[in-house]
Amino acid sequence: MKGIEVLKRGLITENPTFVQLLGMCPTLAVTTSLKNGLGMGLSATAVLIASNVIISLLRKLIPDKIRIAAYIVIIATAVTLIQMILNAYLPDLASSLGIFIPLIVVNCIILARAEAFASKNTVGKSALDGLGMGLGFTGALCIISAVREILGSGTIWNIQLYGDVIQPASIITLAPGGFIVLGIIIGVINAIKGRHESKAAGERG
Amino acid sequence: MAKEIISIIIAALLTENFVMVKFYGICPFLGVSKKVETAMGMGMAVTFVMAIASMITWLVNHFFLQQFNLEYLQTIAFILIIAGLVQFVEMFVKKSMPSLYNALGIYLPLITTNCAVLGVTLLNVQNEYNFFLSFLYGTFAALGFTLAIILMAGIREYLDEKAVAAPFRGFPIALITAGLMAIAFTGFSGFSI
Amino acid sequence: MINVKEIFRVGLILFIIAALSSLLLAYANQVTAPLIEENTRKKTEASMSVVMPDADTFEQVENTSDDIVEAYVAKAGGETVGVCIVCEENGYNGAVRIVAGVDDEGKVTGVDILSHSETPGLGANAEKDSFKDQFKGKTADIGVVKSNAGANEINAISGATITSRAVTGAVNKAISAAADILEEVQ
Repeated sequence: MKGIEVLKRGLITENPTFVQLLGMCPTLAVTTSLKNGLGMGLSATAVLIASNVIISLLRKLIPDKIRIAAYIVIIATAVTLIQMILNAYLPDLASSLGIFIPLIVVNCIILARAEAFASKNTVGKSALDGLGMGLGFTGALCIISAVREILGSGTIWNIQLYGDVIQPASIITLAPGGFIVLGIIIGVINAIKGRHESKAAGERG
Repeated sequence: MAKEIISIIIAALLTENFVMVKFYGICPFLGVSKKVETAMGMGMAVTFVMAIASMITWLVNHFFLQQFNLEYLQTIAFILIIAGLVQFVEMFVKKSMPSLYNALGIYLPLITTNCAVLGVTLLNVQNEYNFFLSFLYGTFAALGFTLAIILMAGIREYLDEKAVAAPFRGFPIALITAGLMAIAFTGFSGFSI
Repeated sequence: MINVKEIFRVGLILFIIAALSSLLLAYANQVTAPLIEENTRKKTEASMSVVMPDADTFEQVENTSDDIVEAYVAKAGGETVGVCIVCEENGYNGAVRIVAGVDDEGKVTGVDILSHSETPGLGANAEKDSFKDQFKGKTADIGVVKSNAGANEINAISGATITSRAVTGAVNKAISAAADILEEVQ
């Protein structure tokens, strides 16, 4: 498999959020503003690249029986490092993401990539896979959080859009809005995909 | 004290419900909520692990990490405790209660990556709960999770997916259903003693 | 038959991984901890000059109760003009940390939010001056109402009663701690 394909898989065809439906907790919890969505996406991407690289490096040394425990230790280390860096250099982002930074440890995307990809592939490819999957996750978070911020707060990246004229629907930034917006976005993506596929099938036959 | 206990119970079950308000444990909530029976099994397994994990992590944090100023190892220590605990529970249930193991078997390993478990242990530290309150919060937060997942399974059993537009079948309609349930849960918000 | 040697080997590898991780984190903690402390200190100092604009120096004093995080005596030209208190209260998504300035008559001179994890567009609106400025001039036991605030009350942020209550609770704690500290200083 070529490098570019590894990247494209994570970004589009096997997008961790919209296609594989992994890592739903942070996807719903932190997408209340574009800033938070992007921050969470990039933090998870950094963790994903680091854990993929280290696990790929150690893949021949880690015995099969304890691989999950070993992966968890490696992932938790990467997460704690990111947490320290955010606290030191981006304290506002760190405090607004709060407890969801340490919870990156249990984001199933990261463990899934370790198990399904990094433990079987070379370091270079694993890094690319981490980058692709991470950016796919980040992109998905940005789309969801942009929709929720525009509809729920009437702002985008904290810039006022229409809040003075129409009262924004703050329920969109609350929990129910998270579920409903994500449900509708995945439904729309399925519809587009369905049309695409039936078109392709029509062309073939 | 009694007032604190009651307010923790109400918050954990309703006003700050782990699934519907705080977004912890969404993966099993959506994945294992197609039948009421399996939802109950998952809820029971999670409750068991969360109650015990709350106690053990409190002990480790209080008598070890805080004593030696090692708070930065919290995440690693807690997730290792949870992973070990889940493994232990799996072995124990398999040996002593085979019928329960058959019912829960496939869900047990999944609990390690349920963020509700790691979440509650971290929240116990953040809220500075003592040993008893940590145990209480862990147990009732898990019961709140169980409540949400059973309610969801009840709805999904009746939901005729054939009546749903094709692109929305499965996951999307489940999310929208969850959203409507969450609106009901916002009705509890602000309710406190 | 369980192989004891195998278990030992596997355990040792896991132990080495965990030990290396801990070492790495210990090092990273040593590097970042002073930076984090410095950040918090700078932010607190900047906020203190906002909530207590009359003062020119802030001297940290010992805490009088476990309710508060830090206490500072505010001075202008060597004279004590008030107290700044840093304290926390749990909001919707976690701790809300504030700093409140209280003058020598027990009146609030200003409130600033130091850190929070509240929902953007709702609870996070506590950062807005229109909410924070309501506390100016208030005295002990401030109440929270949805609208039409009375003499010693503030209007809650719409849709974010829990956050409003958390900030107000923290300010009330600060006022009572400030009274104790002023008594000690004078």
